[in-house]
Amino acid sequence: MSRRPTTSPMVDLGADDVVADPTPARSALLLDVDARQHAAISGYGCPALFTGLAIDGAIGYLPIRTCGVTQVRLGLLVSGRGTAVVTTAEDGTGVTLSWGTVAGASAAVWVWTRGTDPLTVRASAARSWAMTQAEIAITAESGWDAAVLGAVVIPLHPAI
Amino acid sequence: MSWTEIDIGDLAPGMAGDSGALADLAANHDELYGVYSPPVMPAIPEPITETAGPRVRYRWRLRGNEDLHDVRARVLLDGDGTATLNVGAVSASQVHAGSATAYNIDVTPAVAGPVECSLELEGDPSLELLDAACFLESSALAAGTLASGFRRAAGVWAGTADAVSSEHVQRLLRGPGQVLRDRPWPAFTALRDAVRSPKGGGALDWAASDSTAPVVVGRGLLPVVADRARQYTLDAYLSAGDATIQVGGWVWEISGSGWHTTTVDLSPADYPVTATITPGAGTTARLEAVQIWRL
Repeated sequence: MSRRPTTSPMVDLGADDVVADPTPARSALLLDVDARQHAAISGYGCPALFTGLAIDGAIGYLPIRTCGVTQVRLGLLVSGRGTAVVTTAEDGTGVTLSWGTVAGASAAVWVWTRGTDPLTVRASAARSWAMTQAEIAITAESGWDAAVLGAVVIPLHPAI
Repeated sequence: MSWTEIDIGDLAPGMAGDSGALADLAANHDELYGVYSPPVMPAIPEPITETAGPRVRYRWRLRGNEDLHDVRARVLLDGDGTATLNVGAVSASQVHAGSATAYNIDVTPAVAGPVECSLELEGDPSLELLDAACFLESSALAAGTLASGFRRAAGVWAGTADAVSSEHVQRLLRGPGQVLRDRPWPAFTALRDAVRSPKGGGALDWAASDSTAPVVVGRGLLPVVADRARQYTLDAYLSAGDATIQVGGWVWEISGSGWHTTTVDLSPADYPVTATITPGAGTTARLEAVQIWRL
């Protein structure tokens, strides 16, 4: 039996729950415990995050810290016109994101570019936290500047 | 220890008090405490070089951590000099010489959050910080009631035919919430170099000195991290001038140097975030940190 990752219940709001004494035996209480633990170790405990970047040179770095996932999806906040190739030790091909080229002669300013391919960050979806360093290599179009101003990292939690 | 996926079919009426599933729930309770280690500061925005110092280059806030877990900064250094992690009044340093090498710098904090953390660099003659992130390293799980309220469960109750006590079930129910509250999730983090000269409102620098008009200096996205409306906590460090942080349609205005904090209730959605600064006449506005926490 596999279980989907969950972003609910909101486990942190249950920190003060009181189980009166006596309470009739109910298996639902233990099912609730399991649901909270499962959420904390999957989707709710390791959701998406945004981190600001200011990479206007050729190479920048993005540490990605995750639990229970092997892949993430990336969105980059960018300006100018260019291409970013994001790779990790586990994913030498990585993902390629381009921006500014669709708009013709104008450069992008504070726009998002999102990939459809996931980036592999870990070899195993172990229930422990680990850090992966992603490298962001930026190539500006000829005659233009290009910068990466932020990244959204969305962990892709597998069914377990 | 390791995590055990529970077959919820085992959590059925009539289950024995010494069932394996109940023991697994208790073991997972303790395991969660031991492994949950989200980032506190996910990344610095760009590589920086310091030639003289020591000077604070990035600062951020740590929240929660009532149990005083070690704060670890993983840094990638190149060149020659010293990198220091400050957590409140406690510090630890790493001396480096030569080619790029990654280090862990650990600090055992003296006080729980909110507390300011910072990375300080001193070049000798020149040190480059290529990359950095910061997270909590879980302490060993001690007996008794911890400052976060957490209590261990594995091996505490193992009666064969006894009823499972209310206290034991309550402990299990509370555990995940206590861990996640004590190590809150940084849904949004944007830091800026505390030293680099302003670029006059350029897109890459959250500082401006060339205008008394509001200047948009940063944008970002607060991604959805919950499936119901809930409260988020915002921290911002303003070293000079005035600033406005806008999250979706909600606006927060701050003024004066130092840390500023507020809370906002948000429904589940992705929210655009915009940071605007307003220098005074002849002065510089500088916004060094914006953090949004799911507590």
